[in-house]
Amino acid sequence: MKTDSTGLRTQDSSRFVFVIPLIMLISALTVILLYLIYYAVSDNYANRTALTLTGNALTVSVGQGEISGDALEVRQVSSQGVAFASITGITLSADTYSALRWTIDGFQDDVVIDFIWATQTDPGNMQKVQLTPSNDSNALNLNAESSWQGTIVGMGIMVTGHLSDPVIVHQLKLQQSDKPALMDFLGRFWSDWTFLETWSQRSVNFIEGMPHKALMPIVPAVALWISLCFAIYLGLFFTRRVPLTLVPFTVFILTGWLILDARWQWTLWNQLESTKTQFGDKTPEQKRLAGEDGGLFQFILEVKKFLPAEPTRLFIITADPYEGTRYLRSRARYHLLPHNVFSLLSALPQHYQPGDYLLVFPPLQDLQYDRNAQLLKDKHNNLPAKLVHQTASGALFRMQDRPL
Amino acid sequence: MMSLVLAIVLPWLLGVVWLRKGGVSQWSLLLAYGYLLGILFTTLLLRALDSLGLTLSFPLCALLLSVLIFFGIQQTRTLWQWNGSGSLAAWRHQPFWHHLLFGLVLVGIAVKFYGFAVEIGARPLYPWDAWTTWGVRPQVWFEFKQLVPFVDAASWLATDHSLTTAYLLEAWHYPPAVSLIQLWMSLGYGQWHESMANLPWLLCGVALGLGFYGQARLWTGKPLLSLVFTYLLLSIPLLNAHVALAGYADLWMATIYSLAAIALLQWLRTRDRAQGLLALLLGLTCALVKVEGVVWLLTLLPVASAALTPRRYRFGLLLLLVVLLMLWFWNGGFSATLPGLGTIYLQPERIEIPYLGRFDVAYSPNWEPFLDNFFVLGSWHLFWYVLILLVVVAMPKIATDRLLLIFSAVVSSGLAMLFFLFLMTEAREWAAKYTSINRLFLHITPLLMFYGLILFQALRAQSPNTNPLSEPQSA
Repeated sequence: MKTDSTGLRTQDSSRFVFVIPLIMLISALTVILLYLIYYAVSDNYANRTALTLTGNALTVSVGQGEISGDALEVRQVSSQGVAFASITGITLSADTYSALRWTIDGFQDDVVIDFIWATQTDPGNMQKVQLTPSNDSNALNLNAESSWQGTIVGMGIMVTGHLSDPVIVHQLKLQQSDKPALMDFLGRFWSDWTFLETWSQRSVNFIEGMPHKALMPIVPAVALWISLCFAIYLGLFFTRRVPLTLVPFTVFILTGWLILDARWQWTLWNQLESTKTQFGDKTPEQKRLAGEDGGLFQFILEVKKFLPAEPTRLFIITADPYEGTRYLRSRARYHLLPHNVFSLLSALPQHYQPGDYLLVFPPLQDLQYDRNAQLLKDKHNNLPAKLVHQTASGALFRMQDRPL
Repeated sequence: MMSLVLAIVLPWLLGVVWLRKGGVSQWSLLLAYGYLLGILFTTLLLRALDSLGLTLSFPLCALLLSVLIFFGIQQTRTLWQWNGSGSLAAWRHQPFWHHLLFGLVLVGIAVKFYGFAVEIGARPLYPWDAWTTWGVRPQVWFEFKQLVPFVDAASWLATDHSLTTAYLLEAWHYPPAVSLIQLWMSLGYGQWHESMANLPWLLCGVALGLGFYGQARLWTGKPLLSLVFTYLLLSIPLLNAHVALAGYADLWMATIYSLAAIALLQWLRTRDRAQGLLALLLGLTCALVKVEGVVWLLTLLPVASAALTPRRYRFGLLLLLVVLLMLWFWNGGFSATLPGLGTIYLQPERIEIPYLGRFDVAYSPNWEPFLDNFFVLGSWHLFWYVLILLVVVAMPKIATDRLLLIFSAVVSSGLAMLFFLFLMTEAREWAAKYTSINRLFLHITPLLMFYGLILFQALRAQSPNTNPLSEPQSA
């Protein structure tokens, strides 16, 4: 029996040349069709593209409330009889979302719960619509609200009335109820696959590999495609049209892997181009200036002019060194190297020695500086310190001897 | 610039020369293991010089390395003898399309590494731990030319205010080897330069590729198959991120642990003394790289000790282990105070190991981060799909093949450790936040890829026809 260099019979090899690409093509078309069908039926499209806000993402600005697991419990209204729980700093297009589904417990007589939002064009003017529980679905048609338009920059709930029990906000879910046309679907699939991911601080932890809310997540789609290839080939084997060997299965997997890697390599090259644009042909100092925290580095360069050339001891004070200002104080410390920096303070240090430096990043509510007395003051401490340098970014002090 | 080249070449040459003397003959293994062991030895040399109170200077270290290289060459008569003519002849007799595919895959890998090199050269130190921990220490050490200690906040505040007494580092207990590698490069370059300090990450990636290929070639005897699996490993996006965004210790941990484990398995398979040497030396360095390196090393011990135990005592050893485990559980675990380290607690509800951390044990399954990270997001391509498929299909072979069983035991103990960590302890938070679930699995990834290769090889052997990646024996 004639065999080729792969060990397969020549007849099998020539058949594979046609059969395998055909199986791949049929499988690819089937995958696209399956995704289209999946999003065409039921609420799959609306659920996939929904923007879900759990209660614990809301902040109570008026009244009193408490986070309980994923939910928010609004426990008390203000003296004006109202409580606000909202999220701000968001940007989403009102056109994208046409329905609100909400999960809220604690509806009671004499208490009105409104869905509230603010738009970019009129952020100070809060819009509202009352939420009414129903037996089948707690849904609100946002298209019916004339002020649901433009860019939404904040949203949440307003509770009005006398609360006898807490109002528990579990979830607010914005949905796209209108399904796109076929070509728009295909366009979305294409944009999912041509999405270019850039490096972020999370890249060493995980690679997302697709846009948020992708309709056709790439890795599962390729895995599905390979599974279909397997199924079709096995079907052909059971009907005795092809032999059972590892060849086609190996080819299917390697092709799938190559598709993913080609896409990933394309992402890497694009990222490399932007890296070169951002940092190429620059000195180490210029690179840091061109970095994400270039402004901070610029400030540290100024500060360094007032520090001794030899490494010295320096305290950094920020408002919330373990959470909110962690990045700021860590980067500042890194830029200040090789100075010996203690960066974990949110108040004046208890232990220091004259000649130590103190770098203060605003805002720090309790910290004050008395220029005449050359004293730094907070709730617990008064420290003699000389202001060395000050800008809007921060202030540098040099610690003095304690008065006898 | 010359001294920078020396900073790369000298440790590498040192490793190659002494491994050659140790009996390692395959060129890719010499280059891979040689670089890793050479650079890690250099970090120990820096520590030794510092503990002697000497100023850390590049000329002194380079001189000492050169002397060791010279002695190595003197001792190694077979250094320049190459006995690969047989494999070269077999390589030449392969069909043209094998050569063509081999070349294409090689170009694909080279293109990737070219990109990584440019990225490392252009981008300042980027990922979080790189500039909060690993990259902080070498800058200070370079400034003072001594290994100034790094301490926690309380110790810093309690110091006597002398500048070089101590520096603050929140992760002060992390092993220093990776930072010392950066220091070594800086000493060679003559100043702290982020890109130059990170150059070893590129070389570590190269060493991983060479080591994996060399071991795969030895195991399977098939260059193209070996190179394809090397490419599959080196194309994993998360691994790529750890080379391109240099500065984390995980790439080193993955390379060192996996290459040590593969060498151990090679030794179990062939009893080749050189492989045993590679496994031993690289295995011992695990603890120098990351805190969890000790735990990784421990995952190799059951198989290694079983292999070293005479066959007639193995059942007794297993029985003893089971009895000890039952006694341990019955007794509610145990705790012991180790001088200079602190108290170690190994209890059913609490595990606490100094420098590693405390873990309260309670089963709380949350599989969603695993499913999302391994099967949906883009960190792994199809790695986990393919590995699971191979294990399932090869299960009958695994059950009957002693070597596959041993290999399965090694990877199972590593995976069991990770699943225990993420499902049974508070580390489930790391998984839920996606911060370290992938990075910790990365440590065992090269070993798992090698396992996949061996399973594929086993399946291919039982397949009625061969497949396009098969070639004549050529190793």
